[in-house]
Order: sequence, then C-alpha cells, then structure tokens
Amino acid sequence: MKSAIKRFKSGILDENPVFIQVLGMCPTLAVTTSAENGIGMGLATTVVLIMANLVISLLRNIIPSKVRIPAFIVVIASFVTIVDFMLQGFVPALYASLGIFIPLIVVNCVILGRAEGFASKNKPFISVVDGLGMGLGFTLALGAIGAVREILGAGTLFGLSVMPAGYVPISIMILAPGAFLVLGVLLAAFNYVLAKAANRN
Amino acid sequence: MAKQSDNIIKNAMILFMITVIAGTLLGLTYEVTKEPIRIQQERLKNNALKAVVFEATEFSLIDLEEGSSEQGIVNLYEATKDGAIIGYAFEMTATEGYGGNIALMVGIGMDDQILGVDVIRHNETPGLGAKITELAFKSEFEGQPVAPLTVIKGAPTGNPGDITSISGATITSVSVTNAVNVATQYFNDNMAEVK
Repeated sequence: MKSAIKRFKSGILDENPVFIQVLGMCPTLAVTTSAENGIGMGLATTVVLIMANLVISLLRNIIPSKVRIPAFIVVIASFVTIVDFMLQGFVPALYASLGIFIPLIVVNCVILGRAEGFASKNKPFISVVDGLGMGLGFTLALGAIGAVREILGAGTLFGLSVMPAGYVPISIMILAPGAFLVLGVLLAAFNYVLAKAANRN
Repeated sequence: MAKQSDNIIKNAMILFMITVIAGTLLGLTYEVTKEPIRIQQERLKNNALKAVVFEATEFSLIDLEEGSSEQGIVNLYEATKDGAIIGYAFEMTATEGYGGNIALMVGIGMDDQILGVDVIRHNETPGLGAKITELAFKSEFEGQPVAPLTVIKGAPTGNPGDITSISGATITSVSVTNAVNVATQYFNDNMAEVK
C-alpha cells in the first residue's frame, strides 16, 4: 500500500509527465488554450492511461520483448478507438465535450511511455495506480498551463471574466507562441520548487 | 542459428495474434456501435437543420444537380413553413479543414440572405479551429448576402461579405467560408427560378 501511495505521488510530482519527463508535448502545447480544454484533455488521457496500463500489465508475460513496441501501439490504438466508438454511440453528451481530444490521445507518447517504462514490468494493481497518478499529473499540468494562458490571453478563467474591466487581453498567449512561453516559465518554476523542497529534506 | 530464426517466427506469430485479436475486437465494436452512432449523427443533423432554418416546420430532401457532390454538397433540403418554401439547407463537406473534413449545414433564405451556419462534425484543434462551433464565429454568417464571402484577419469590419477569421485558425475559417460560398453559388445558379 505504501508503495502504491508513493507511485501515485511520483506521477504528480517527482515524475510529472509534463514538467519533469517532458512527454506529450503536442497536446500540451496545442490544447491548453483554456483551463477547461486542458483539464478535459487531461481527464480523457487519464482514463485511457489507466486502462492501457492495466491491459499492458496483464499482457506483460505474453508480449515478447523484441516486438513489444508494435504490440503496445496496436493495443493502445485499438483500445482508444474502441472507447471512441463506444462514447460516440452510447454517451453522446460526453462525446460532445471530450470527443475532439480522443484522436490526440492515440498519438500521445505519455501512454506509450508508461506502457514501456512501467506497466510492462509491473503487476496490474500498481500499474493502474501509476496510470492514475501520471494521468492526474498530466491533468494538473495541462490545467495550470491552460489557466495561465486563458487568464492572460482572454482575461477569463473557465469562461468567467476574472480580470479588471480595463484589461486588454494579450492574445499571443492563446496562440502557439504563448504555449511555449507559459510552458517554459511553469516548467522552470515547478523544478525550482521541487529542488528547494528536496534541499530542505 | 536455428534457435534464433525460431524466435523470429515465434515473435512474429505472437504479434500476429495480438493484431488479429485487436482487429476482431475493433470489428465487433464497430458492428455494435454502428447503429447507435448513425442515430446520433441523424439527431445532430436534424438539430443542425433546425438551427440554420429556424422558422421551418418541415424539411424535405430534394435532388441535386449533377457534379454537386464533387463540390462538397452532400444533401439539399427544402425548408417549408405551412406549405410555403422559406429557404434551403445545404449539408456540406468542407474538405480543407486543418484536421480533416468538416461537416456543415448552411441555411439560405428566399430573401437572398444566409440564415445561419451550423457545424455538424469536425476534428479541428480544441481552442483554435474548434471555435467554429461557437456562436461568435457562426453568427458572422447570419444575414450575409448570397454572394462570395471573404475571410479577413484582425478586427471585424462589419462590412457585408467580410468574415473575421478566428485568430490562430485561418485555415479552418477559410475552409468553412469556402464551403458556404459553394452553397451560395449553387443557390444563385439553380434556385433563381423557384422564386
């Protein structure tokens, strides 16, 4: 149990997929134009990450190591496509809000990274915990980048106006260059705080 | 040496089995979800029809001129209210989207005005191109004349015929506008005698 809690925490802090591992940069940069989009993408990824880790962990003794990468890709891509069909057919309300993120998840290297780096070497339960931790770490990172970009670039947070009336939005922040700027600053800040905390210990 | 080639064959067989199982599962899921997905899309289309010709009580599919589908016109509906034709709804496919095809509905009224544009399906980037589904962009088209529209960048001019591009999503904005232009062109070419 202790190792499970540690695993869960490391996904969010010490091994945060965005701020420490710098994985999944494509959706991180493209989707975080608002806090809502960042969190939506993060949660959709979390669900896929948990399920993919579980399936890969269950299959870890069957998949030969020489063909593991193509096997992982087949498993993950099929799984995401099945989820896509299911949501589209049976849960249209959820599909309407998360559907646009699903094609981006198929090519997300966080999923493949965790399959290769963790689930293929560990038991199912701890792999699911790893998926949950990494997924939430990804969600927090995307949500934070999205929130900063939305506040500076549009003057709103979750669609609600938060800046004083005279505020002129810096529209570059919600365009592509803003993604790089905010990612860089947050990445530096995150690592600075973590390093400080480590020093104190 | 023999052992190694055995391994290659064994590995290939396992990978083959994984892909066969994955393929079978995908096929099954496709079959099971085909009908519910079709019903959902039908519902989305009906909502789009109502959104673009708001006042109509009935929509009936009418025949298209030859070669229309190559231009991206999928279906054409005649919108009637109490038996009188009040406009047409064009179901369009915009092929030049940033993330593949965009399915649109374009409503044109008999008074030579665009009544409305609605997005049925798209794969554009969330936060950028996906803003075509927002009212701010869709309402750009409302009340525009049935004439070629052009996409402009920067601040809205308010001039008839100008569509303000979504910033960071010019390709998507142009793609939607081009599809609307195909619809208005068809309307001008073929619907004049109906009036």
